[in-house]
Amino acid sequence: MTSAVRAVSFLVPARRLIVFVVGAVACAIFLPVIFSGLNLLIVNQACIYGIAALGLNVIFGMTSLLSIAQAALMGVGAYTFVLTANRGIGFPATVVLACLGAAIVSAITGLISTRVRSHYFILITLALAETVTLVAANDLSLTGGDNGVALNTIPTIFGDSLVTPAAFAPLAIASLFLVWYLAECLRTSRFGVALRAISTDEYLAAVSGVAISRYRLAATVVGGAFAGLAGAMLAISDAFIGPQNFQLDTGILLLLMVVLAGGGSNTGTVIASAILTYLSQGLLTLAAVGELIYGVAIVVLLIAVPDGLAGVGHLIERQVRTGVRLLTVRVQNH
Amino acid sequence: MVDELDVSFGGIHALRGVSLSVPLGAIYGIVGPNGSGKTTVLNAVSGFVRSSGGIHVLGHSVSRWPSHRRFGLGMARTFQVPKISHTLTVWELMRMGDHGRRDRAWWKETLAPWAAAREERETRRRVGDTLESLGLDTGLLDTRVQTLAQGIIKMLDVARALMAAPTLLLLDEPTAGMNEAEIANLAQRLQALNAAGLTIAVVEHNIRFLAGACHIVAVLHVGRKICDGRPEEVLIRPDVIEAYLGDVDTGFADPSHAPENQGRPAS
Amino acid sequence: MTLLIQTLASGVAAGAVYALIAVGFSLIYKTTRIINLAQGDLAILGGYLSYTYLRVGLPLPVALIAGVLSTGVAAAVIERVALRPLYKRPLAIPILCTVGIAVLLESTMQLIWGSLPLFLPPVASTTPWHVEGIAITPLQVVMFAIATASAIGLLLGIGRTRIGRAMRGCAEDAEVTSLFGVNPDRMYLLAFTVGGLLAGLAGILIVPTIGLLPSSGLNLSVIGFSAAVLGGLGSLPGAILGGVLISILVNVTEVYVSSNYAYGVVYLIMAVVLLVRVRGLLGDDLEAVRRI
Repeated sequence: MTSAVRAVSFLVPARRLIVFVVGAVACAIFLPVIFSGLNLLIVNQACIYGIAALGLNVIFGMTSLLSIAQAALMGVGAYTFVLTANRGIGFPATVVLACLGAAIVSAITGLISTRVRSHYFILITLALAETVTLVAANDLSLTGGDNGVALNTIPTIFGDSLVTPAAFAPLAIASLFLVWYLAECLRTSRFGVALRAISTDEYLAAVSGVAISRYRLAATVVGGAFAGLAGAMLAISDAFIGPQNFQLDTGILLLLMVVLAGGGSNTGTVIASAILTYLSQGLLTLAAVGELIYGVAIVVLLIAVPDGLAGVGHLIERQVRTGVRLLTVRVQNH
Repeated sequence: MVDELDVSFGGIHALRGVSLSVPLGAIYGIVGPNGSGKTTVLNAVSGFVRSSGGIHVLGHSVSRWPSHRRFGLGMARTFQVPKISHTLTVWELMRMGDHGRRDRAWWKETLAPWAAAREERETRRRVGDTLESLGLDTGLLDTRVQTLAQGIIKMLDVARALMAAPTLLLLDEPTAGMNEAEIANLAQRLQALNAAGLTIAVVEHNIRFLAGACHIVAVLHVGRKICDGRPEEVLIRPDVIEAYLGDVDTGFADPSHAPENQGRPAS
Repeated sequence: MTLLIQTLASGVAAGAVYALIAVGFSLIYKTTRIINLAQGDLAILGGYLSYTYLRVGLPLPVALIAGVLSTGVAAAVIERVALRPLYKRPLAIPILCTVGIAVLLESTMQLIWGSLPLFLPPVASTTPWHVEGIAITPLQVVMFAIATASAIGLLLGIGRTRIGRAMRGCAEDAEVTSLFGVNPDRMYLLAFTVGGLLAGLAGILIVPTIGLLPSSGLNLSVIGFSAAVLGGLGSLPGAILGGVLISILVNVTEVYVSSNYAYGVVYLIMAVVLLVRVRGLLGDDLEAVRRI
């Protein structure tokens, strides 16, 4: 009995690591079996958007820097990936380059933001987002303009080509779990607490000794790198990219995911991106109605559900805790 | 601490030629009626407002330093009205105060969860000690700060500042929002901390609290220093009483008292 | 040379209208610190409402005026319903809410009026006068006159009156301002209403030139707030100057470089301002530069 308790308490600090490894392996094996066809495509897409949304969660959810450019940063990653891959650079290296490219571009917004007050950030990111779309659509020789560019060779892992959704799914799922793990560790680390202080009150952050500029910049770099990874994943999954993948409406969809998650919660962001990716598949056919629902959802969520899914989770957690406490008291009394 | 400090906002002089010197080991009170610029002194020392004149903190001339560097020197401060988002828990607030201790790096959380957990236990112990030293309930850790009474929030803000293990603590109107019992408790706790070696500079308009707690007080009036010295001598001077005439709420903390910009420059 | 003067002339006429959007944007920012990303959509909404009033049989001038007034009302409703509950939250939240409102307005307009361009008759003739080889339409003259008159009227109104000072005070510190007997909530409502009226006015003036399309809203927003940033966020004279300059630059780029990159220039200007001179041409440092 006691040795069992000791073993369990030894594992407690690593509970997140265990969830990451076990969850990633289990989901990567079973989800492609459970889902097929269109549903598996949605799973893949949810993973891709989930990764990008986790990046945005670092920038907006944790640091309160309102960025509308996350989709554009995905685009930077995707184009970097495809253009380097088509020039013969090997597979894992291209993904690293994609992350690096998006992180550098994101860092530019972070650098500008260090000089201005935080509400300028939306303007900076809007300028960036539109510039990326403009370059993608007009710079024909490099980006193929509105026609986009195709990925010439689909990468392989362990000799398996990732060309089918079933072959790609394990990679997407494992990447999502990895990014979730990184973001979750970031949130509880000193870095995450500093970001939380900045978003709570910059004066509070300053008197706690937080170098606000440096941390803002770091948040944009991390968020951008995640977006770059998501972009590379999208390029592998679709084998083709064009400006239409990375426009403002995608940026707004990603923001909606973080808002629905609430309170900078990473787990909430993953759940929200699964829900919203699934819903947006149905909404795509409705165009204007879909947009209307996005718009209404943002306004209503902000006003009526300020804590989002995280708030709901918090409530359930409290109920469970009270329940457990009552139960233990009753057991002890017997 | 400050030398010939001048601060002005858009042509209005908030401070003119104010020099204050806080001796190490003292409890130093800065007092004055509304609009006398006492919070502005703290904001200038914190680096929140631009000022001309010299600012010296613990042997460093910091007038050109960014805020976060000044607070890395072993200085900490509180706010008149702490601005805290509604989801923030006491534990998270305490960890913000703990930022100066370079533990729980991101890489360590990711790659060495056991080492990170050891650091967390250590932090929890220190948070518990800090809360106890102020007479706060250590069971509050998972409570959201905004659900607590204003007096407790003010005390938690002091605790947050103490988490940085400062040698100089700046307090901005600590008694505002506190009741009589809480004020008495605060005075007693501050004296205990002072006895353990902490230098404290406190901006206040509650004279009774200052007279009881401080070794030295300086009186400001419309951006100038009138005088300084031991509280029992200074507070009976006719010019000090003159400065306070018309400002009747000097004896007790009054919650309806106009917020003097909440301790922050206008944003 | 003639081409250049021609480009400048039409740039100035459109610029006066963009200035109206920028002024509304800056006014709302100055009072509430909210960056209202729905400003351009409000302008287009003004155009659509006038179009509808015209279709139900109102005479043109009445329909246009009613369209402008309705836009003001719409902005007031938005402030009351969607933004007021969010003032106590971090500033990023109400700003994000205006993004939601922009999406909501655009899709609503698309559902009601469709995504094909509609025709709203201009307030004046578009048959050009030819002066020394330069073509200027009466519409351009009227656009310039109306926009300039309302912008100057607003500047005088805000600069000289107690309300103007009260609006400014609200942004500085709402609680202190309320001690002086000014109700900040009323000031916020007023700022949004006036912002909406200006947007609506800009809408009915510019729509005959750029076409009545739901998707034009975003472009107008972008031009409007680049103008406001160029002039200095929160500075009303700056917004006017910025509007005219941006419009000229867009026109010059369209004519001399490439129409594809006309909007690219707008973003480029915004980036340069943010990098080199955050406070813009006529703004002040307190508004823009981080202090800690």
